[in-house]
Amino acid sequence: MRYVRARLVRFLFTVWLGATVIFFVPRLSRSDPTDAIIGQLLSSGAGVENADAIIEAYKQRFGLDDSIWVQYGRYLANLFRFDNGYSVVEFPTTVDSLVLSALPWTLGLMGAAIVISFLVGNLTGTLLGWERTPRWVGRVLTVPLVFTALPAFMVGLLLINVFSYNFGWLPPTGAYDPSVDPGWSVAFALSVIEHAVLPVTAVVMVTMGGWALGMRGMMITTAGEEYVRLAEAKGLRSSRVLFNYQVRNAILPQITRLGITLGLIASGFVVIERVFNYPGIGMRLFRAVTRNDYPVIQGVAWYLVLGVALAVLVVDLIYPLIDPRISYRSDSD
Amino acid sequence: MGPRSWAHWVNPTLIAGLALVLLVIVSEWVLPVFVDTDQIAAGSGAPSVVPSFGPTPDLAAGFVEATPDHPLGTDGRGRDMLAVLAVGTPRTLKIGLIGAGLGTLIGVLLGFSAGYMRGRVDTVISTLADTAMTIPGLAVLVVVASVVGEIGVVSMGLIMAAFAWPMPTRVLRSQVLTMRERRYVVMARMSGSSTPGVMFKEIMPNLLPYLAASFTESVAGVILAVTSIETLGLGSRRLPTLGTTVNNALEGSAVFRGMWWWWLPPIFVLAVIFVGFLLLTNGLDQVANPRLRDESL
Amino acid sequence: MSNILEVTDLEVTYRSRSADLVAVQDVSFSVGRGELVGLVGESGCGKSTTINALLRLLPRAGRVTAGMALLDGHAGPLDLLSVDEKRLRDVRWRDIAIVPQGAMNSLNPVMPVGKQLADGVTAHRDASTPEVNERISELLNLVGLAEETTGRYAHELSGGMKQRVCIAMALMNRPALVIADEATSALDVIVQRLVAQTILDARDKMGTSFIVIGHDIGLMAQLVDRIAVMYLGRIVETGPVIDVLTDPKHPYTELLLASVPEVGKEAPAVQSGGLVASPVTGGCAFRERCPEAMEVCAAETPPVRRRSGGGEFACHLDRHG
Ligand SMILES: Nc1ncnc2c1ncn2[C@@H]1O[C@H](COP(=O)(O)OP(=O)(O)O)[C@@H](O)[C@H]1O
Ligand SMILES: [Mg+2]
Repeated sequence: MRYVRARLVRFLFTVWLGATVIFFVPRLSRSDPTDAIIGQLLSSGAGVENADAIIEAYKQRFGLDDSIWVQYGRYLANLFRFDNGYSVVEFPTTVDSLVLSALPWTLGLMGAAIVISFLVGNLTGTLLGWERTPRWVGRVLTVPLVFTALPAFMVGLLLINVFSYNFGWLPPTGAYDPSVDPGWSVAFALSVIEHAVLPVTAVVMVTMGGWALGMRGMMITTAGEEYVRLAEAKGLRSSRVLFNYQVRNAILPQITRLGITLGLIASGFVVIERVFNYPGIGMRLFRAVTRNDYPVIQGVAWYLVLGVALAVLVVDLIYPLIDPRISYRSDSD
Repeated sequence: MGPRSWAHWVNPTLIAGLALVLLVIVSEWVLPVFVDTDQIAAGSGAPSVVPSFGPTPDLAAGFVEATPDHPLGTDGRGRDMLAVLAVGTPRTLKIGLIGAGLGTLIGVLLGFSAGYMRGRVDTVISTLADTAMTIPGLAVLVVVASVVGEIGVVSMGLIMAAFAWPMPTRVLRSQVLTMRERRYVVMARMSGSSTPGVMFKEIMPNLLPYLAASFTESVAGVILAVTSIETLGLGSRRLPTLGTTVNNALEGSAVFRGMWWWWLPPIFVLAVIFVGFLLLTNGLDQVANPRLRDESL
Repeated sequence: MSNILEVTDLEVTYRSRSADLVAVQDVSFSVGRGELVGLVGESGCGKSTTINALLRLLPRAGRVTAGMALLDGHAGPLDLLSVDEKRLRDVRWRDIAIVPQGAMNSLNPVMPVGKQLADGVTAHRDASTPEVNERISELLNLVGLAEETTGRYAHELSGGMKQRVCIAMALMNRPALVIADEATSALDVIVQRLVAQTILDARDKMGTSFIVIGHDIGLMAQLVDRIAVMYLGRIVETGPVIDVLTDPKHPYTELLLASVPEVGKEAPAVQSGGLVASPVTGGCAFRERCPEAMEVCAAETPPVRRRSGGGEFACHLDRHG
């Protein structure tokens, strides 16, 4: 179980480092976020009746008179209890409940995009790197790779312009049609899918190329491996050589890479949600930024760090199941 | 292994990338000569107001404002789009260069130390770099930017460097480790033992193409990150960058008003920059690793 | 056709950006049923290229540019070098199997050994699982491995164990011909003996023919019936192993034998020449290093002469009469 322990330690270290940065960075700047929060509350006429209560809540929570280290300790302890405090704009809604209500949308959209991109990209790469792929197929498959270098939000804007504005085929914003009642109905499910098509497509278009190129390289590498040539010498069907020998090995570094790039993918998603007005936690973050809702900004940032670290941990823990050379007992990375 | 021959550097991908990037950089000097950059102020030209709630938004109605004075038209608040691009593009590029430059520098120092000293130093540096890579940079950047408020080009570049170092660190570390093995025999025969300084001078010329590739990759990464947080409404607000222009377009519902001349140009310039740096990176990778050339598509 | 394999005038070229390299030229030899043929020569002389060409396993850069290789398999004789994919797959592993050079990397790292032993059988006929399993344990036994090996992965086996798994794998379908490329190199002496014994057993029990590639002349002497000596892409001498080793006709064979310090020890690298350029066209390829080179050696391709006890050699000199 040394492997599991090492991964857990790394997970905790990542989360701790993220939390620490999120806690200290704002305090390094001249403007104290707590002051800013209070200032904002006082200047906004809307919440005056609540202002005293909020200020009191914050003073208590941050223990403004305590030393920064005591505040830091309390911050970490609160994180442990998933207590990120209150939104200043929507007081007394807690940050955690705001994140929680937005989370399913992000998880669904992101999960779909990552899975589709990983599958399509690696399949493309497999065909690009396979010696038996007909030339014209290879040529055709390189076409969708032109979007690889671009940020997802760019492609998103282009998609909205073409498919929503010009053709009016697909809805450009939101997660579902407000005229449909949310619930377990076919109409609602269809509406959700319809709204997810464009953002998911945008993300898949820009991320699948990376998987494809990586997989293509690995296919070329494994094609030269002695065990693949031996599999051919055994007269196995070429599909078996391809999948059980070549792809099975070529995919391993890709899965490692999935873990490494999750952070980047998540970052791209925040902007995608803003462009598509998708009600996930990226949108929450954007809205918090525009309204200077610092606790929500910090809270969402922390949840992003936590979420990505968790996903990386899951990938790490699954990995030994598919690569017998890494066992739960070894501590290699 | 002698110094690499210059023929290696003559590489179609590399040259294409260089040409694209140079095009963008040169336009930075050329455009202000022809364009009145003061027109980045809102209200310089008549705002292009295309009704957003009409049954069919009239494209022409908005572009009427594209007069000889405003060849690319004006945005929803009357900023001249050509001027905006002329000012915004170099600012975005500068952030990318500063961030990636400093990030690469930090990466060189950390990566070299890790690869050279190995042992505990290596463990600490590698763990930090690996961990930093799994922290979604955007999340932390948003926290920083939201607290700091208005951020100039240089400070933004410096902030970005904090997120641009892990990749070069990893690249350099692994390269130094392999070079070290390869060079070890030669070095030992030549001078008995080698100081870090000698080692650094020995290794650096060979690492140049790797470093250059890692740098150009970082530039693209930094520009992506900075553009991303700008589209969330953070960063520089006083003077335009490509990211803030996209954000303005988003806020002005440019897409739904059919005002493509508002959101498309900054995206187009960004695309040229990204493709240019991607080609540069691939070209440099091929220079660093000639085997890749035979495998390229 | 009485021979299991007849190779005629094989030529293989490696293409690269800068130049083409003819790695194997004018190679002809045959393997009788149940015969053990040794192929020796210094590293880089084209042994692996030759047999990879026969098995159609050349890397992408390599092309067969001339020659024929008739294999008399279960479906009658066919030319390995020109047969279509479908029939090639059919004879592979069933008629002709290989123990690859560098068995270190020859096992799929993510598939248990047992599965890799089995799939070479099930790809060719509908064999029941118990039948396959029985065959597996029989062969593991033959090569001296425990039955639990089937559940293990490559990284859990030592080099010698992997090598023996590869030999077991090659014998699974009782092929008529097995090619062992340096199957005993880099193994300790005990395992070497075991491998050699396995080869002899297979020949005696199943009538399997072998092409054994190696540079341990001592081991060759005890193992094979006939030997072929390769130099710079060509076969320079063939003949019954005892004849060739006791009475070498070609100066290169002599040099090769002289550099073996003691029978049973690993041969030290002969002064490395390797194939730097294509084999010399015109004249004898060995003349540069030949202690007995004459003017004619540079001008004319050496004639092929017969050895008295069977076999041939290519030299302008016929020293021992
Ligand atoms: N993939 C390849 N591409 C180009 N040349 C090759 C390749 N493989 C082998 N060669 C060349 O062919 C010659 C014969 O190599 P090889 O058949 O491996 O020799 P051996 O097995 O006798 O050691 C060598 O000169 C080697 O450099
Ligand atoms: Mg060989």
